[in-house]
Amino acid sequence: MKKGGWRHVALLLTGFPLVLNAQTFVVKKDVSALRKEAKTNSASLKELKKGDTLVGEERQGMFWRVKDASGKDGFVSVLDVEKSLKSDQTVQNALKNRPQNEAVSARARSGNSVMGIRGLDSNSKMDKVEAAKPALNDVYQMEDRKVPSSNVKKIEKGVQQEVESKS
Amino acid sequence: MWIYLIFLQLLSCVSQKPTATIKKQINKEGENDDKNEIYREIGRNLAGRLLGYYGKVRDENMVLYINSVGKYLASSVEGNQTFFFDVLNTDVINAFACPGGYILITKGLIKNLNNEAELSMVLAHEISHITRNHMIQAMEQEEKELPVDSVTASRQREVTESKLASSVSRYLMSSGAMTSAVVAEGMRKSLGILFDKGLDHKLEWEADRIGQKLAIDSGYEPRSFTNFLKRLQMIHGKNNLKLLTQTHPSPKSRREKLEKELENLPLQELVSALGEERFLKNTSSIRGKVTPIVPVAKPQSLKKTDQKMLQ
Repeated sequence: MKKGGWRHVALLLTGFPLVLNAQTFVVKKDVSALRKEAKTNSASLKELKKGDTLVGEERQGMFWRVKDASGKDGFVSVLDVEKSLKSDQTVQNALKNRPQNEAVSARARSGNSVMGIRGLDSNSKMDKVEAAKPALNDVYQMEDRKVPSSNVKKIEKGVQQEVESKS
Repeated sequence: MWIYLIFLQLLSCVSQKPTATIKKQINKEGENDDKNEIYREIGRNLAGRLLGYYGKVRDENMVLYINSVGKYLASSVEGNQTFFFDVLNTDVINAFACPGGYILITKGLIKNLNNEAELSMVLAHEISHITRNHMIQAMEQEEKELPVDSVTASRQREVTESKLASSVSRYLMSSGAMTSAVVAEGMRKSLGILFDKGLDHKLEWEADRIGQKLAIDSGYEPRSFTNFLKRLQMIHGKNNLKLLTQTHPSPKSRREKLEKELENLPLQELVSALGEERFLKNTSSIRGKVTPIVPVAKPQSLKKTDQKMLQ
């Protein structure tokens, strides 16, 4: 985008709520709430349950403006919902529909390098890494590391507070 | 009885065209759980080699912080994939996504990030590689593309032996048992992708696009990734960036594509978080007095005029 392009976008959109195509969301947490305003401390209109579906059209900061099944309007945190994928948007379909000529480009890039054979790779760093003794204890430590959910919540809260303070 | 079974396996391997591949072997086993377990084992082995070669940063507080940001991002990802994050003790600027959810970023990369938003973009890029099975796609693609020549023939022998070993051990041990040969083969392929060929540029671009969206949806500053790539562009050619540029599209082309993607961004999403203070506090042990290689421009946040308009 050209210098100052963001300002032009802002000018075009100022004062008009951005309306996208209606999207369906699925609530992914039991503790979610439909709120009156796009703020975390706003009054809760309704408790939402995991699996509830909502229809949303407009995003405001960290919230989607949505309607629930009964037609009730409100806001839900973008972190509490996930977009419901259409069948043609699944990973499997995306893979299935990949253009066939991708193989050609990958082959062209690979040149003469043959992988998977010890001693035939030209990349010496790769040989060194392959020859390194695997630090499996460090891998087990990675797997066993307990990340308290309160830490993750702290990040989430920090992000939300910063967004709200700028809104 | 066992001898008879082993003989049958030998016979089947000899009579088959020698095109056995990891993928085919997995398909033959026909169970997704087995497949995932094999890929996870490959990823575990790969992460182990990277940690063994580079070593890890022994600052548990910082690693815990990186894990918290990663898990926060991953909470918006579909599916139940678990992600594990750690920091490699090297000044090389890079990040690695291994099958099975193991994500390793380097100390050099962290030193060159400015805030949590930039960190989130990098982590989200790696998370996207894993959720989209990019490494697995690349390994399977490579199997299809191998030219038929003497080298291939010797390699096919090797794989056939692996297959044989796998089959034998399955009979000798218990059903579903894996052989280390298959894992080692997959690990070598992955290493080749990480250190030599890189992933197909289309896959890198997909991870850029999806990763950027994931971080923006999580509330982070939309232009963080492009800001970071802009700085990488300025140090293009430096030694500690060599591997990254060898295995990825150029920072310039990535930035240009991502900027195009941002043009369609809703205005509301420009109001976002940088998490600068939190990032600097949690990474102070490795940043210390070290200044980034290039004087870093202050990340663009909303311009004053934009802020006024939003009020």
